[in-house]
Amino acid sequence: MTDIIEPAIVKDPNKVEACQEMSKISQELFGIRSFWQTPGIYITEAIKNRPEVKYIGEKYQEDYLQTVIVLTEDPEDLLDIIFTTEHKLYKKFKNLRFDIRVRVVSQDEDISVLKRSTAYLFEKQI
Amino acid sequence: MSKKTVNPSIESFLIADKVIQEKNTNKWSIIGIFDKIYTGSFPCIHSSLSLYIRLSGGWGKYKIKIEFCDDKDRVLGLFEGIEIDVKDKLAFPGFGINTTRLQIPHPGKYWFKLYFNDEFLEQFPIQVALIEKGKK
Repeated sequence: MTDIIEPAIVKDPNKVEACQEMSKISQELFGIRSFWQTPGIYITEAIKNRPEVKYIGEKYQEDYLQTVIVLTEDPEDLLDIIFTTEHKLYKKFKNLRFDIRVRVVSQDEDISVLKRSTAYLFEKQI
Repeated sequence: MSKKTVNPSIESFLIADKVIQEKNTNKWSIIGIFDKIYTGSFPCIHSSLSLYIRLSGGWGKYKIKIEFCDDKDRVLGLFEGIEIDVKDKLAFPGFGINTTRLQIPHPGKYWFKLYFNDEFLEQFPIQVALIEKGKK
């Protein structure tokens, strides 16, 4: 009884949507989302509607989980939301070391280096 | 006034490719049961993993949380929002969830830990390993 998976990097948002569609039957029972919540997912939920958010990704480093947030501006209220959410997550994700890295770039700057994530959580559609 | 709950026992805990509940009959189909995952590299994401859980001896309303932990007891993923109401102590209620995007950082033993109304109930293991070249 084994399951073999290919090295999986979720890069295609449409692919994720397809997975969510497949999971609809059971989740309809509970009205909940299908993906496993991680620190990056909670932060994405908190800030994804802000226009300054360009990209959010998550990657496992050697012994900690890193969330990369790329912003085009860093107003104080947005940073407050990010770090207040982070603070709440320490209790939920007990014993997990995670770190949040915020980078501010210009609107048209190439961020391909910053996008080397295991999981792509959000990318602003242009 | 809230009624007092009785914590259930877990009769079955199955990890599978997919769980489906037929709408007309309420029957569950559990497809592709497994207890080991092989992957070509780490970290990886399991794109579609389903769980089926069958209870017994419970009574009352439960908020269920599932934690995905590694062998150092680090919580790597959370699944929250499942609520069930068991009205018959003699019933064996079951429920299934189809999950996506389970991040797995390294090979080893992992645990699904079940909490009912924030109280730890039971945990179930899963082994994750690297595919040896040429053995796929």
